[in-house]
Amino acid sequence: MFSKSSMKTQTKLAIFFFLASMATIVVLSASVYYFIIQYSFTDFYKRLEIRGVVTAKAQLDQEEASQAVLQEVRRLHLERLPEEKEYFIPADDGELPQTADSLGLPLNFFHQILQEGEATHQKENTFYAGILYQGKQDKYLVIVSANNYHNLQLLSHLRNGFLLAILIVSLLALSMAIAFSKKVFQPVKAITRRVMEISSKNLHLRLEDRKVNDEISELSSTFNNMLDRLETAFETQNNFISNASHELNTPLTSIIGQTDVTLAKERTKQEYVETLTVVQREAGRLEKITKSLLFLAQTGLTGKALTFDKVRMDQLLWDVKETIDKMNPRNKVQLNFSLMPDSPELLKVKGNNQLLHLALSNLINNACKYSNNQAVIVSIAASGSKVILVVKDQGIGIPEDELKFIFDPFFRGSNTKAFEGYGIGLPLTRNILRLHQADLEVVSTLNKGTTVQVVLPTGHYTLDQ
Amino acid sequence: MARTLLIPTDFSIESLWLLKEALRPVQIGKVSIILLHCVYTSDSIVELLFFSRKELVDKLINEDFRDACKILRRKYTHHIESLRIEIFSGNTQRAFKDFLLANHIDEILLPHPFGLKNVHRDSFSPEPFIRNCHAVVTEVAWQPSEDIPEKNKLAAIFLL
Repeated sequence: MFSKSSMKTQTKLAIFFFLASMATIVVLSASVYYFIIQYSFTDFYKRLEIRGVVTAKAQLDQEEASQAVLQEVRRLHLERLPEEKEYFIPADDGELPQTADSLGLPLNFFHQILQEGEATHQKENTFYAGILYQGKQDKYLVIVSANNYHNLQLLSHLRNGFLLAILIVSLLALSMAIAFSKKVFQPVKAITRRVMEISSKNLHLRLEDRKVNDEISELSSTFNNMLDRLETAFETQNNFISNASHELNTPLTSIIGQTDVTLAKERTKQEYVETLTVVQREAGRLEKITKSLLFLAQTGLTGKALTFDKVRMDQLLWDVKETIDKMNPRNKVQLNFSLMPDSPELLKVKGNNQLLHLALSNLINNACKYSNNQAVIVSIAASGSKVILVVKDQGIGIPEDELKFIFDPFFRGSNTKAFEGYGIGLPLTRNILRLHQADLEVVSTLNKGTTVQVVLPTGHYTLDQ
Repeated sequence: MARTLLIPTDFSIESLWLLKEALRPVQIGKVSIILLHCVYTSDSIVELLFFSRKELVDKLINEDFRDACKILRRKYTHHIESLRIEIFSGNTQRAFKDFLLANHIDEILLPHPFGLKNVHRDSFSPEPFIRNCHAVVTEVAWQPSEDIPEKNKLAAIFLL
């Protein structure tokens, strides 16, 4: 037998299934067999008794007419059983023990007949039924014996049939148990295989979403959530340096270039002022970048536990707009609050303020960037259980066949060559929204514009309908 | 007492534009809104036996439409007394008149041109019935939106 520790759950399940079905079939067969034996014996004794009564009446009745009739009935309707024998013993015979001895029957069988009026006895394949018969003058013990050949034959057939059926069922149950346990554990195995495939190199892979809502899909969605967190953390870590150095480089180059040119020869006071203004502006930009980098580092993606609070989305939108106004003063972001509900309670979602800020500013920044600062409309609405945000631009759009790659890290659309970027913003945004169980949908028409729709569940702050 | 408006719909986000249009006037007061879609139901006994209005509506409506309705209800909390969906499956003018009476309809909004789609294979347009009925019918000029990226998405609700 298997040792307990090394046995797989799959094997355990198969064995359990097999044993359970075997137990059922064995108990069923045994009980059917037992009840049929009971019935057939009782039935056979009854038949013997009837023969006893009829024969006794025929033999012991004094009236000739009834004797003849009974003989006739017996002949016509009661076939002779194998080795059928009848004995008539007077009840007041003092030699009962001797008679019993000579017939090979126990004495208390006779006593039982005398006391209860009837009794049965079995000696090997021969069955005895005895009754007490009240004749005209005397009492008789009428004992009929016969061989229960047919019934025993039937029972042995039945037994063999059951044994054969149990054998076949056991094979069937075994194969079904194996197939069943395989089937049950197949999705688990698939998950194991898939998770093994995922390493730090391909963290963007996810387990397949199963349509059915069962334990397995819960397991895979739990895995996916874990992978989301892992991936976000990995990506932030991986891209932080390259992001930071690139972002810092641009204003630095500008400062160095400007000062180089200015220092090349003597300048007028006016020119120095101009140069210093540029330097000041670029330094200010640098400060903003370092601040936002610090902010990125503080978003808690690098391993610290995320804290989820109530976030008021309209307030957040204003904050995001403020940030974008600072970073990109030429933006034309319009906030559309036309469908905003009266009650601000409906706009609260369960989320991390800084992360959502980052995600939304990414989306809106992208919209401004890829539309060359044309108008971007940001709308907000609430349905009670969800908050819907829509960012709509009239920019270059996304080619239809590239739409499915936009969430892959470092992917950049074929029409974005003229724009600066690393292909990190959208995956990061997607991951942040995933952490909030939010739904992010991007639709786009090339050269006409892109619409991004974010549906955030309000989380625990669901209000009644 | 709230007035009851009947607004035909094809369960698209765009068709809710009519609803928004109905709620536009400032002095609208309280209204009950019935969104109407017309579908012939089978006259086979067996199918009628298992016919469920709720099932039919569930099949026709998607999640986005539900959300859009909820958004509008939240927005116009003070104006919308109730918002419900009715299926009309009669095929005579008389039946339509009875339907209007039974639902206490005060006014019907009719998009012009009538651009609603037949979303179910047994859908039919209520336009002839509306034109021939004696209730107050307000025609609303309707221009189905041109090809925009978010067509049929929940985001389209902001364009209305």
